Amino acid sequence: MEVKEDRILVWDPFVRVFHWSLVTAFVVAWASGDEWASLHERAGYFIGTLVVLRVVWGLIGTRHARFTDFVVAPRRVGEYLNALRTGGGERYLGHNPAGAWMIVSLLVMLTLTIGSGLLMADGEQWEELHEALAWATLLLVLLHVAGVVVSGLLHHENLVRAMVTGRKVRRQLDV
Amino acid sequence: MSEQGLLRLSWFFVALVIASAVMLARLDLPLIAPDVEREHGEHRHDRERDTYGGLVQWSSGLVQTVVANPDTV
Repeated sequence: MEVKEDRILVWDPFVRVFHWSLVTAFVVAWASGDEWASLHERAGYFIGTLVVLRVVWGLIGTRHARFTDFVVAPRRVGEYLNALRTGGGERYLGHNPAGAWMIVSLLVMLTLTIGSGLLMADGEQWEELHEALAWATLLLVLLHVAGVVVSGLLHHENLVRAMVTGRKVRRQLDV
Repeated sequence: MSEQGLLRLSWFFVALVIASAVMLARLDLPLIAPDVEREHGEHRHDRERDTYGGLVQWSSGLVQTVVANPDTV
């Protein structure tokens, strides 16, 4: 079957700026955690702002940024991962089911991490929870990166570049 | 709103991200947990003191041993 390809804008400017700002802020927050409190807290406030803006944009934003476009029933994640395991798995122009739930999980975990960080104003008892949540978030980040690599290899596309340029190749068989 | 209108609106959200970053960098924010930070600082200083103190003690012991027993070198 002949597969037609054309490059279209999938990720709008805010989604891209949000993504790379979050990457930067997370690295800064992680690196400054024990050594530079004022920078760590500023990074935390910034991540909080990014999360709020992303949630708002997820409700009103462009097609592929909206939660209604990519959040699917959890059983679809299992079906998608099973299909990937057997070498199948449809290609999604926007977020695939696993990526979609990863985004939701990351937004939730970041919110909890920031919340526990803010609670440290009440005392040190929240510090261990804050650190545990930060480690859990880091684990999700690593899973996200692994997912990007696997999906990119399976579908022969550079997803990192797509998150920079915003453009992806549209193929005839895309979901 | 049309997709083109939303694309323009996304630039406004980009501006909000930049504005918040600039504002957070310029604001003089009080620390959320100054006690925790102070304790971390004390632990760090203790750690540094232990590390450097131990290193100085080990070096000086080595020098004393070498001076007292030059044949061992």
